[in-house]
Amino acid sequence: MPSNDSVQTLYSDHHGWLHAWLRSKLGNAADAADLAQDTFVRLLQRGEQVQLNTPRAFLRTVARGLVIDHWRREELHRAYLEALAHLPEASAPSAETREVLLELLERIARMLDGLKPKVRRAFLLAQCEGLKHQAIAEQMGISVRTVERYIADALYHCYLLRFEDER
Amino acid sequence: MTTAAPSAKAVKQAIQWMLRLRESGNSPVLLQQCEQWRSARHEHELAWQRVVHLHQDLDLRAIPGAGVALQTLETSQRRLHRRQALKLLGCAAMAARRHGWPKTSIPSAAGLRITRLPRASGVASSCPMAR
Repeated sequence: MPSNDSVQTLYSDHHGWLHAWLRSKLGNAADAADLAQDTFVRLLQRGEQVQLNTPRAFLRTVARGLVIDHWRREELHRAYLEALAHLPEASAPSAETREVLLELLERIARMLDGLKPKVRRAFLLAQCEGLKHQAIAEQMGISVRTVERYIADALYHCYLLRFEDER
Repeated sequence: MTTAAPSAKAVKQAIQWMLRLRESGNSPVLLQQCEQWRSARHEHELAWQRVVHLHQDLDLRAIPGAGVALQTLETSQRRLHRRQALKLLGCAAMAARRHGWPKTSIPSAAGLRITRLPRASGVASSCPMAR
């Protein structure tokens, strides 16, 4: 656990710089302020040593991950609202259901990050649509064996992320 | 005593069993074979439990209103990638200007076949290549 002192020092020396850097990425002062705070909170929560010899490179690495999470959330919200707009009004989910689903989608999207597009697509066709391997193979124009391998690979990828702390 | 985590091999086997069962609609014969595999070693059972939990966590069919999940995940992923790519282009362009590289060496958005720009104002306002 990093000591509160070292995070305190980082904060007072580099918070202004980090805020400016985030603002240049996000083009928005309010979001930049939020993510700058989140970056330091993340440091306090993390188990690893704060690297004080290259503080700005270190802060940038942590902050960049948060920027991508922020964009992912924004894009998911936007794509979700667009998809809902095409549904008949009667089948629109409640606000509560939307929240639950968006949270789940965000967790899944983050887990699937880094998978090849075809692996990801085969996996999602099974998980979201409940398609059989044969149907996925036909839709994607690949063999059933390849579909099986893609889905197993995707699950193993998720397994490693989900249980990495418990190994 | 702490339980050791199952080996990669056991986890991959558990995934195979789960997928085969799912595909077969839980065929009784396969179920029985799977149970035999699980009870053969403690490690197998542990891997199985973990894989089943993971699969439940990722099962979108169980959630009401998840009919739009696939479209939402695919569209947002495409846009997120485009956004990250544009951001990198923006940084490359700024670095190039700072170092006084000739303008022709900066890759253009068209050259990378990015045909549509994201609507988010944050990118457009801070990324010179996006304009």
